[in-house]
Amino acid sequence: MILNIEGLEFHYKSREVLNDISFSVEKNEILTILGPNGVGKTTLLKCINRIHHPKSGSILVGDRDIMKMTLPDIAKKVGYVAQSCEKGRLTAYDAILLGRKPHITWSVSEKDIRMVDAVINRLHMQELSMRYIDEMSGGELQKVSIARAIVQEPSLMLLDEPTSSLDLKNQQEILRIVSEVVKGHNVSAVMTMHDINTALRFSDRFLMLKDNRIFAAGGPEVITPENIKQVYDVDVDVEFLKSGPVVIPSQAAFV
Amino acid sequence: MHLNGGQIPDEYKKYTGRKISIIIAGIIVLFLLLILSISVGAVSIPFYDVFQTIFLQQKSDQWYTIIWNIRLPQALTGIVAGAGLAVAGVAMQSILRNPLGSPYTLGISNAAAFGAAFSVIILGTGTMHSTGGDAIVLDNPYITTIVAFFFCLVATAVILFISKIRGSSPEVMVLAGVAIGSLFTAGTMFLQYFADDNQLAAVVFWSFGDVGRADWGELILMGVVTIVCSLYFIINMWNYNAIDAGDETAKGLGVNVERIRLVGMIVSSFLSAIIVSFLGVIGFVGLVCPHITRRLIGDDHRFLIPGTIVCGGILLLASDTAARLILAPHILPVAILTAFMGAPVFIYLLIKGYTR
Repeated sequence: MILNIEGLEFHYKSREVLNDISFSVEKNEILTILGPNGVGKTTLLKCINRIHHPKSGSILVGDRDIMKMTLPDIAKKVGYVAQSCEKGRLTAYDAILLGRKPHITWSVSEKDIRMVDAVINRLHMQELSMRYIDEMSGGELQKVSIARAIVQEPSLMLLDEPTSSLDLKNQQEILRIVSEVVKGHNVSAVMTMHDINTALRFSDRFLMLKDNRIFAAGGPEVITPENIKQVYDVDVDVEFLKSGPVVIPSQAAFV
Repeated sequence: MHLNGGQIPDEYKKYTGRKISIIIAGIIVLFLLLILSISVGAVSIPFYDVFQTIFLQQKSDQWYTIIWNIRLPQALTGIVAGAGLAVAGVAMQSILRNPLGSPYTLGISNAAAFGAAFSVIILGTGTMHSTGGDAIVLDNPYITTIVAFFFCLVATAVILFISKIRGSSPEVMVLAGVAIGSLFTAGTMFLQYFADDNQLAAVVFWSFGDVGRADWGELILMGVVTIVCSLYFIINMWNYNAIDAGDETAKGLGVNVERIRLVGMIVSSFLSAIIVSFLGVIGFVGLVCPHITRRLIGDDHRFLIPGTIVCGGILLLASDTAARLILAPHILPVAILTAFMGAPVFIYLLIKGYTR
């Protein structure tokens, strides 16, 4: 098991944001957190790598308690791709190299360079690597962010809305990369996402949040019209195509 | 780009090599400027004699007193103060992620000016003498410096206190700094309103930053503080690169962003306070040198911090040299020249954009 969360609770000042959250993620698994805006999806991700401090509960990555680890140690285990990334005047190569920060004590080692090389090759970013990130498109920048998280050598990757603001082609490409990394290495991923159909295509399991709690958890079978109605307050139909289930807003939703 | 497993790629080597070359070129320019700065003035000293007097230390040399007692400490003070203010500026801009961050814009300099005004007018530590060949003399410059330093620390403490209450976000720190700066400016104006002519002149003179004020002892103190603080910033270069990518990304990379921001602010404010307290208000260096360097070598702090240190030294030393020559034998305070020299360069680079 890569991630195990028990009884997680998080309050922002006096407001309850997450309550009684328990779930686990296995090796080579992609888990997607679904739910409406403001339900606590991003907060949950940020609790996992201690950007936020949970009020109570336990978070184990591998067999180690996140709350007892130093921040650089957490960064060696958990890679985080934030929803938005600042565009500094750095080349993609430098921006990816930055992912080695938890491992770099003073200067860059041969292993750091080898890791960066391998990821650039793997993600076919050779042409991109010497370009400045402040001149990149959203899709290119997202690739750089994911590459940076991969060179951290994490066992768990957290991706906050990795496909928001990307066109269809880039959405597919980014998630294919995530999928390849997860399936090809001993890595797992937890993502937040709004597009249920994209999530269905690339995720193994789902966590549906409602009212700051887990409403449903499991495989694609939890994506039902009833659950979506409960969580999003939207009427949908779930059609089963050759490629898998597809969520379509029902006629009632347009009336 | 061609990647060759584990070796730094040639294209990347070339790219970083260009940045290192710019820094080395800057150091050479700074050294030549140092010799030039010592050579020129009311009395011109040949380059060879400057070189010989400094490096061979021939005490019998006719230039020895001028060089060792006047021009060398002044030139070195220019380099140290320029480097210190510039590195404080680049640190403030990076940790606050705000291009307007500098000791001047964050109110540290205003606080020092208020401290000097308070010292001169309320504590009676200063009166005007003359502005001729020698510098203005404050009756008790040490008290003035200490009071200015004290108020610098007060300004820093207030900014940090507000940050503690509201969180160490860049917005809170910048806005608090601007508010504190305005408050101290108003306080200075209030004191000046009730000052007599001599006190007013002393306060105004103090606020014109001047590198000619420091003696060897003060220069060594400023030098040690500048070196120690610069080393702190250099040690944290990877942290600043991470913060540049955004707070959340930095935290995801294991950086304790709040602590780095807080300690960085304390160190940069302390460094600025030391320099401003001894030399007076020297604006623009801390703001513009990081931007000039960014445009020449980019945002990577591995190169940006040393580059900015060199750039600060060059700008302030060049300004001081020009300030001594423009109206010779009269000497202009360097603070007037920093903006005159730095602004056109900065505007040119702003229009030209980044160097590729």
